[in-house]
Amino acid sequence: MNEPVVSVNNISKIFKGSKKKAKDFVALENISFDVFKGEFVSLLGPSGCGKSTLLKIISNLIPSTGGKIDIYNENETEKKIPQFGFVFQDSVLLPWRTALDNALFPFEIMSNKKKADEKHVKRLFELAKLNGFEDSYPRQLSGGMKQRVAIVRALSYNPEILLMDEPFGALDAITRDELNNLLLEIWHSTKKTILFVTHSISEAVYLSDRIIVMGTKPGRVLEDMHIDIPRPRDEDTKLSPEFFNYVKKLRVMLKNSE
Amino acid sequence: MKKKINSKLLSFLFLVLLIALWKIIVTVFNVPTHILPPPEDILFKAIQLVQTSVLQTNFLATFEEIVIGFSIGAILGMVMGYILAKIEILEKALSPYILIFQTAPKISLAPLFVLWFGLGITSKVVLIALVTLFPVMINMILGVRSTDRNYYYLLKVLKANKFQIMTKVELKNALPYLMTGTRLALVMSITAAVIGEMMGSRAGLGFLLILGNEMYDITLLLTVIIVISLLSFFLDIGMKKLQEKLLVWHESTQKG
Repeated sequence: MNEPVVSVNNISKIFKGSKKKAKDFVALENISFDVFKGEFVSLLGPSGCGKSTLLKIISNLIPSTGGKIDIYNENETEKKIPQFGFVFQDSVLLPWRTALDNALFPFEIMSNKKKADEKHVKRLFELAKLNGFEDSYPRQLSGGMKQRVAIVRALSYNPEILLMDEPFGALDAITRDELNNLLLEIWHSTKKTILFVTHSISEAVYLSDRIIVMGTKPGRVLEDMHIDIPRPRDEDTKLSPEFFNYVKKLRVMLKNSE
Repeated sequence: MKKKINSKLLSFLFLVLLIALWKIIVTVFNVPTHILPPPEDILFKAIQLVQTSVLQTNFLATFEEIVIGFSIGAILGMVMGYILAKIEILEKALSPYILIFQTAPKISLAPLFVLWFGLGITSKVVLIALVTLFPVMINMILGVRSTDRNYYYLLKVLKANKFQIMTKVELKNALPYLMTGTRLALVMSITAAVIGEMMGSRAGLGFLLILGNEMYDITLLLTVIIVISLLSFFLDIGMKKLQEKLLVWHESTQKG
């Protein structure tokens, strides 16, 4: 918990009005925070606060209009290896590939598939409780299973940082709880740094070490909150008074910011 | 399984019924042979055409035109389609011409091609390639354009190069569209072959049609029409099988 892995410095994003009369839209204004090694950090905010945009800027998928992102990565020297694992809201699995081939897709792009990699992916399949579905096509899988394959794919090449953009937002509550627990398990056993975007207060409290609370108009950081609920956390955690207190505090904070 | 057999049997019975009806009408109403010959005449004619190898020669001539013309048109259509899909400004600039050319009946060019390229195979190949090109190209453009933006994000995270983006995602994504386009093009190319041959040729099924027409040989005409129909039927079935094989992963081939 000492060295930052991701450092966000004064990031802003302005969408230029497309017509002459249209006003510029400030999506993000002077966002700054650090994410430390091994930490589980959530970006929490209502829709429209620019949290997904921020994640895409951090991962260099879209450019920012100001500020700087620093990534401190051990395998930075290896140019071909992606710096992050990225999990999208939709699974973004390639429908013409089986589950296993989807998880191995990154190696095909890096064009250095080794036997060891395949073993590693098969182990991840077990960790994600996906064994037996290696040869299924995405259309044969449920939403929750697709998302698990997407997580395995993101972890397949062993990145240090895992970026997740509302990965469970489209799932039903039961599947969502299930995948939250699975994600915590995976996080414990792989020791990744996770930056997780969500609009669910309870999900953020349950999963995170820290929550960056964001507000809208313009998208900004309201508070950087530590969640001091002991781990391991399980379903009982959600019934504890401290959990309830955090949820209440966040709810009030988000409500007042409107 | 039982149901499937039943439907096949029913199809066959339907055919038998149709032929029987044909025979009955011809006999009862005493239809002259030069208007509608009885079904068995068609069979005899077919046997005779095969024995003198007239049918094989002309069938192969048409088949050859289709294979060559269709291949050229499909390959050109895919290449041009991909280029137009990727270079949006080019597609926008050319789109009015593409639209005019696409909607114009290309068959009307057949007499022109016969004058330009002669009575040989070239004039038909050019015509077939032309009718094949458009549906393949248009569907290629649609298919590549329909690539989900998230796929591009994923590829960017994985640091994929342009060639990988094309081969591993864009072309795969375009495949269902492309199959629709090529299937459509194949049926059109048979029409183009026959009409091209009718405009002027020395061989082919269309040539036989003109021959039958000029000699008032209804039996020959009907035989050739049946052969042409069977050709398109089996080519389409072949295409459908190919489609099912290539698109096992796609919703369209989902079974049960």
